[in-house]
Amino acid sequence: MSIYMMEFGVTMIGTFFIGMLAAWIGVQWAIGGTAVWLVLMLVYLMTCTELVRLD
Amino acid sequence: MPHHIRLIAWNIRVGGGRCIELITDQLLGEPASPRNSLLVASRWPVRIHPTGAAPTEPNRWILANIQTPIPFALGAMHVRNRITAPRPYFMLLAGFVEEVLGVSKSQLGSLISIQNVGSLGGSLFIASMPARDRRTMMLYSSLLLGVALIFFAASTNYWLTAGILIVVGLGQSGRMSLGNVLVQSYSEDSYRGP
Repeated sequence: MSIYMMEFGVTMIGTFFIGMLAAWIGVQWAIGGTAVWLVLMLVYLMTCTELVRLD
Repeated sequence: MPHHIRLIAWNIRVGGGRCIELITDQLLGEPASPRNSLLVASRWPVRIHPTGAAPTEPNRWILANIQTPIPFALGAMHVRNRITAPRPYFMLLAGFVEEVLGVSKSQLGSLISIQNVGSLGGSLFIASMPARDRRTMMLYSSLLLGVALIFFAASTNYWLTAGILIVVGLGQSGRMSLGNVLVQSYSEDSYRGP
């Protein structure tokens, strides 16, 4: 539960770095790149972790 | 003999649901204020502690002396919630709209509204689904969000972006709602507040 609540603060730190990335490579590549990363992480979570046992 | 004091903080607007009017009427004897404000209720006598500098928004700040056997001062402050549902892409939406789509601020507002239509649809769907396969739904909602964000990033057309944002809203609401449900379901009662 505490880690879940921590997400709200940590995400803002991530947003800061995504903002820096957007300034560097452009907002489209920043969002697209992190979206690809999200999809890759999800594929990993769906295939290789205990998350599949939850219901 | 030690004295135990239990402090409970409650956001009535978030936790009161449809009973907000009844709750505030019971507590205050008057309808709910449309503005955010603080209420300190105590079994022990409470005295407002004078502050040196007057706050600009006095309804958001209370410093009180609680007259328990061992008196103590209680400070309460309402801080506006600016981080609910933090979404990096949402934070970048204003820049994206200006830099990539080249549309006005009013159209930015329209995009946000359109996305919220998707979120509303997703939330209604989640609320109506049976309590099974929630893990699968959460993962596929997140996958839908990720794929939709890839298309969102690639889109340079306003109306196409608007359509994609409906799908983004669907995925976002599914991810957040089901994530919250699963965390609450798998947490011990003692970790879910009083």
